[in-house]
Amino acid sequence: MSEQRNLLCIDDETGILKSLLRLLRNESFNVFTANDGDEALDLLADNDIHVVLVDQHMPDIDGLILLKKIKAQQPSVIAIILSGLVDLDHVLSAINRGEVQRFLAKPWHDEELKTVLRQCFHYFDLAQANTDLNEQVRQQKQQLENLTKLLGK
Amino acid sequence: MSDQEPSEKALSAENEALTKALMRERKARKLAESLLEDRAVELFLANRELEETIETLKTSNLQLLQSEKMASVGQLAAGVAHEINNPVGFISSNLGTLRDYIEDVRNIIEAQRFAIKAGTECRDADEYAKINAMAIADLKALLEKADLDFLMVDLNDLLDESIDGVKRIRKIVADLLDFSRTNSSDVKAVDINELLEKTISVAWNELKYKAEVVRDLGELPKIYCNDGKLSQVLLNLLLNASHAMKEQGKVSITTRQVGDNVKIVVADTGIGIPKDILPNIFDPFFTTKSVKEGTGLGLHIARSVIDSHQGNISVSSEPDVGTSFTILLPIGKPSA
Repeated sequence: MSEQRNLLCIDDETGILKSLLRLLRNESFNVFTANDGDEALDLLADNDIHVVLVDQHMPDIDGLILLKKIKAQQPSVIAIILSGLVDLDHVLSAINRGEVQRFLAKPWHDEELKTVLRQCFHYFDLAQANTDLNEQVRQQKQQLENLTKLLGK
Repeated sequence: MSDQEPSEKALSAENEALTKALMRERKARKLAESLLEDRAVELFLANRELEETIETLKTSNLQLLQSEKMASVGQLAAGVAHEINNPVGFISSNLGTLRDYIEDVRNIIEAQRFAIKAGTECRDADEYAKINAMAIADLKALLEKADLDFLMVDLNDLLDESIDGVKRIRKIVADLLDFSRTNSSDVKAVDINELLEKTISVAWNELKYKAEVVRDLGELPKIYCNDGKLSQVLLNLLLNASHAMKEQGKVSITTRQVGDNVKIVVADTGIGIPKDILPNIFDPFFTTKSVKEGTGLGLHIARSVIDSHQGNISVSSEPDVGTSFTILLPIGKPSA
């Protein structure tokens, strides 16, 4: 896909955000960062974000609650939770409800994180391609129907 | 004479009777004395046993205090883990990046060395220029790819942030260790505001997700108290305040000098305490929390610690508005 892909990382820790910017500087996608929920939602409104990486524990908002807001604003977004505190019940139910694509623990493994992100973008592309193809099929079907109607006359 | 005889007889009879009585009395006294001695030994033994019991009680009391302290440390553990995992996360990622940066720098240094040497063995000037130009072009490409300007600036940031992270981990661990160490019975001059700051720092990982902490710390004289025990009391109040928040709330901490006392108020905007259980909250093992969350000893210990400082702890609470604990501690040197 030639279209530019965008990642949004949300964490209250500037140190985490800056290390992620460094780690992902040579990846094929752009990286946006936000320090809190409001900043994240603003960035989301102004930019085409495809994947979000959300800290589960932030002073101003719980990561999973923020994710609900993000999904409400942009349903196609793919979500990854990055957490320093594995609250298993909480996370499992979020994954099973389909709100979270992947779950990563802090401290993370750099290569694993990169692989997960690439997979998520790949998944997004596939989902996008699927939607496009479905639309194409729908249009072609419509055209076919129109043609059949014409032939029938 | 005749009337002397019976009187002599009578006398000797009386004497005999008296001697018998004396013997009896002696015997009785001996018995009494030996009984008294037995009793004294018994009393002595009982006393010793009592003293031992008091000693055991004192030790158990200390152990109880320590267990309760460790229980609150246990409650803090999850928050501390999160707080440590954050810096460990970015430090280890930064170190990985640093390795990449150094790889880039090493490649550039190699290319520079090569560029300096390239072509020097050629006798032909044209050929030398050609080989040298090629090496320099390679070097330039490498420099561009590595974005050395960015790298050099970011290298400093990377190190500063990582060192900062290490400092944070160190502080978290030091604070927690400081708090967990066994209480001594030492009494010393303590700055209550300083003690509060230290205690807030231990509870911070718990508090910051739940509440805004507002400090209003007045100027206080140092007071004679046991800082370890008092810090335990303050931590209990802070953790209770944090547990009382359903969602985001506020914890206000106020200190003032009031006459001969220092007043500490810890107030929260939590769910409050129902009126019917308010009189029970200082009772041992009284708790509304689950076994995982609380021992039911926190406030009981708080009261006994404050009592031993000749102070006073009181509570006022309104359901859905919040709860406020007030501690008064005398400034003068207490005997505790």
